Amino acid sequence: MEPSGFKFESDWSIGEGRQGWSNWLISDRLMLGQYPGAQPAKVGPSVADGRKHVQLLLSAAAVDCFTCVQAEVPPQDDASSWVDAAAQGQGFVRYLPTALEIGQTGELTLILTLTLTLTLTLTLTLTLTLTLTRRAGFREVPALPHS
Amino acid sequence: MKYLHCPIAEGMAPSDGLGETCGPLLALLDQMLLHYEGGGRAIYLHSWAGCGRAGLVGAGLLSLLRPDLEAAALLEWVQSYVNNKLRLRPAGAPEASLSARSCLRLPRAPASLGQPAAWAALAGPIQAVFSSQVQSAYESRACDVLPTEAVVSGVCAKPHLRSPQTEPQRRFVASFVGEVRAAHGATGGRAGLGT
Repeated sequence: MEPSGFKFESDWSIGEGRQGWSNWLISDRLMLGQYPGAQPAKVGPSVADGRKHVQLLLSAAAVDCFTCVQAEVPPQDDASSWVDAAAQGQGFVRYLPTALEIGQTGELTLILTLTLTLTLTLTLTLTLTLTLTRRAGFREVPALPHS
Repeated sequence: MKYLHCPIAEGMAPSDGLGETCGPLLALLDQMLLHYEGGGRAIYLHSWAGCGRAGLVGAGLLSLLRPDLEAAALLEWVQSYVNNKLRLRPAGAPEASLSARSCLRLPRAPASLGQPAAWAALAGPIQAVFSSQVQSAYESRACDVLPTEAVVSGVCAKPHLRSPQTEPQRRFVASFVGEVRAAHGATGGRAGLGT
């Protein structure tokens, strides 16, 4: 028997317990799960539950591709069809805009963090260099003798 | 962020094995493999409940990556995924540690996954769509959260806790695996996902 069933810690409240959303089929590469958003089950996850799950998928699982195999929902990237679906009361809430928004926020945070880190590093390096130079009294380093 | 969509009606599978109706599924699997080959990280594959159609497609991808696996082993692999996912636990109970994951990886992939030959052997004309017949309403299973003991590895008495879920889906996976193994010479072309 091959290894399988890698648990992914993301769940939502149902009755007295918690219900898992998804799980790894191939560790760190392929995750299978239920619709990652609010949907028309009798007792289903809320919009907030769905958002939290998507956040975890992007941050903890590094998901960079969503694949839908449902015929009962329009493609996530077809906004106009989702307007019609909502009007028909189908009950699924589109998740891709949430994922894109979270992804962009994450990228922006990363860029800001990297910029801040780089700035701090340069400042520290410059300060250290100046301090050492002053202590050395601008002395020249003697050349190594030729062999 | 990439998004892929392959509409399959609930409870359904391509109706003629690897014939014409399998075209969209093969195209989807090809896209998923291309995602990995292009440096993509993780794919979230979902249906409504994540058991039937997601299990079917997941099994298909797994069989292409591990053509050495026989259908029974592969179905057991997929079933153990859903056994964990649907496990109900008391509110606030801690989850199991994920520390075992790091030592349970698939074999590292070669530079190429070696798929083109397999696809050439398998892919039929991409023209048909899947059957549009829809199974019974989701309510029959959505809230039926069962205790762990209702599920046993490999065989599950509750059809909605099986993955792939329906008999046509399971038959399709078995047929698909057989074709993949035949195309790879049963044990040749072993491939996996490197990290």
